[in-house]
Amino acid sequence: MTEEIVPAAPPRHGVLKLFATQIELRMLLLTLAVMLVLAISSPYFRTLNNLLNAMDQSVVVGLVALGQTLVILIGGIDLAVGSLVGVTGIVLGLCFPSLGLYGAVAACLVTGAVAGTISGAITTFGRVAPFVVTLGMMSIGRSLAYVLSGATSISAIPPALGDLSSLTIFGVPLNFTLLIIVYLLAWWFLSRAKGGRTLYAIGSNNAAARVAGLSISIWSVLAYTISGLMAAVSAIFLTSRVLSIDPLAGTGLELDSIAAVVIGGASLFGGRGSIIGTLFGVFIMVFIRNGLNLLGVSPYWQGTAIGSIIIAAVLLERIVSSRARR
Amino acid sequence: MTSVTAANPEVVRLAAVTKNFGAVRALAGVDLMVDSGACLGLVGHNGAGKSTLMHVLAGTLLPSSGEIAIGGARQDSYSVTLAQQLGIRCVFQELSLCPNLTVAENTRILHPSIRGIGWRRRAGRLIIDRLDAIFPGHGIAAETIVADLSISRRQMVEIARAFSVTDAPLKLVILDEPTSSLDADTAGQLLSFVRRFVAEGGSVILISHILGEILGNSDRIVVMRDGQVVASEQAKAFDRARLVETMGSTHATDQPPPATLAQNRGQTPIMVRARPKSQADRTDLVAHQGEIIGLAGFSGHGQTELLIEVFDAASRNTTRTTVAAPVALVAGDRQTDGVFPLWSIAENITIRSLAALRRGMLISPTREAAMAEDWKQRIGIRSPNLGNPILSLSGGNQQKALFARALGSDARIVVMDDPMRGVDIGTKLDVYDLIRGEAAAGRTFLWYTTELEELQNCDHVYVFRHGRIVADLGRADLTEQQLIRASFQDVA
Repeated sequence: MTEEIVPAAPPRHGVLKLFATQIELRMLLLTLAVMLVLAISSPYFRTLNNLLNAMDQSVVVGLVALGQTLVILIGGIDLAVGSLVGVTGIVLGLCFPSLGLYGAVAACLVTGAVAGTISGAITTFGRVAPFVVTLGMMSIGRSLAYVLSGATSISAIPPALGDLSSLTIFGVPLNFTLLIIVYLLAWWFLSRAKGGRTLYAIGSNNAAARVAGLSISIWSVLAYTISGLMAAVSAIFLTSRVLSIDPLAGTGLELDSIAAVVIGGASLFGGRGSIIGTLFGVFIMVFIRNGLNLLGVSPYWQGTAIGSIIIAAVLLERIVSSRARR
Repeated sequence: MTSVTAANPEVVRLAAVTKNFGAVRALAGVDLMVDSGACLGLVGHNGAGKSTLMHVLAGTLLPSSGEIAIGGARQDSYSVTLAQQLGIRCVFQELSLCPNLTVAENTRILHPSIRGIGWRRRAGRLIIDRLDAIFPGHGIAAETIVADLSISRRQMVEIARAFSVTDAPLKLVILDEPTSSLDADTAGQLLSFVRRFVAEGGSVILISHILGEILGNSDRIVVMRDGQVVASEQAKAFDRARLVETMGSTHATDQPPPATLAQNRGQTPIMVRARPKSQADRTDLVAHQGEIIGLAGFSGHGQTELLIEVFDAASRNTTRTTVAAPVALVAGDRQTDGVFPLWSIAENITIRSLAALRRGMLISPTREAAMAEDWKQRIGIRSPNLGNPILSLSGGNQQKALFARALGSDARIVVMDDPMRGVDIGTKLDVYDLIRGEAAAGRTFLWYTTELEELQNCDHVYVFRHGRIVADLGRADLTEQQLIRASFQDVA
């Protein structure tokens, strides 16, 4: 009804409107607020050393959360990522003697991608709920990590792998730089590539995506493949930090990564979310853990703090975004 | 059955009702009165405000301003519950049954007074009685899960439920395009029931885009345009031409299109060859390049299944179905497999064409916006800004966006599954023109519809019965009698 439009109210406050419509900006603001509070309460938080430490801590969960974002965007969930970090790390450690550094890294990545593809194929073609499939895969992954390692940690890691975590570029850790680069690639992919639009379409309305002629089966599986692959990448960075890998590695990462995605504004029903939001979600969680440690809060209380933050952030997001849509 | 007091013939009175959705004014001061024992026909373009007005009347939307009086008493805190208690029922365009529950359980939702042991049986009896009265021979069982019913049977249950009575009175039933998913037979049953209901003192508001239904069944006709009532007179005062004119359609008449030159079949290459799964003989559906092929017959007789097979054949030809070019599908059930509800209008238009809108490996936002804007102009989507969410559009305009998605794509074959469901006559005529123009330029269309008017745009029509092609009509043979005869023809 073109004729009956009441003159649209001009955007009253340009900046406010921008914040109301852009979830990335809201998340940036929230991250800065968290940093500000922590910087005021703990003098050590303000030091460069601690900032570098926080960057380092965000790499492992950040890589896993990237894959998790893609899966959640299509309306799925990947509970297996934590145990995949464990099993792919063990594969990495076991393959060094026979395959060398690059061969072992390749074997680790292939393991992760194959495991993810299996989860994706079963949910997509077997029409089993992703929660169930990845729950099973989570149990299988952890069990294989124990079986393959003989339930002991592997410390025979070539020191060259440690460069990933120890080198810096203009003072910024190499691993953190790589994290930012993969996030930028993912952002570019999700916002501007056909495959990215397809992932959003699948989560928004699967039947309509099919009718619109998009390759929904391929992309539904690929989301899980990438998630498994990112778990393996994460295992490599984790191993490089301590030059040792343990079958227990990655325990709890599935929940941390889901938390980061949800704090970052994604909907668990799929179709809505942002990769940059997830990155800020990771930062918020890392800063809060780090800050609570510095403030000497008992580690037992950290779960309560993180849990409250998850609920509060999602509640806040609902309120703000429903206001914005009015 | 109905408790209507003769002393007060006025069932509903709306005065100066307005409704704004953000910057969009859907209702701009509407006055409406419904008499008891009368059928009020309500017509208007998509986006004229008919559905919004009915939502206000049913209590599901609160008006921004204005007054509602029911049975002469002014209502200050009107709500769904109150509307129910006062005897106002509504059958909305978007079906509102719970798909996971049975027919009987869905009936119980509307009638809280059915309780205690054996409530399922009693609710079942209530709804089956009503179905028997309205749609004799309906073939629906009370224990069936709604999700297992075809769309037309769901609509029948929805309608019968609205007419069922327990303790609350029943005064007014609003039927918002009730026949859009019914075939001609059941639509006729419904309309004759409406006349009986009205004769017994009930009231009905009938919304339909099929003008014959409105003219043949209403006592009074109200025409809406751009959120206002522009005419309200006795039905006798209108004929088709005047109705169309009052609605403000760009076309002066909705007579069938000037017969395009009857094509000799077989002069252009074959684009589609398809045989229904249960076809016993070797009859194929054949579409040549540039043809508009109609799929006719009663709804649910295998037309949609064949369209889906043709659509799937674009990625993999089968022995029964082969296509020679990319295929796009325009869905009729736009909520289920049409729109992406979280997306903007522009994104909904361009999703089928992303590969072509790339510059290098990236989707170009400029080219995306240009394509959407181009189709907004060509197909007349009524929105100030294509960045608005698709759900801000009325149903008909959402459907236009789906047409734009298919026609703007690289698909040389377009299959349409009853695409005009809930589309107003002005839009229909625009889209007919567009389709004929595209066909003349070499596109091939398969068009499933139950409307004769739409079939008259087709070069060739295949009639379906029980999942098989039972007749193969050229344009010259296409008459209503032929079509009905073929639709009833039973295969051996």
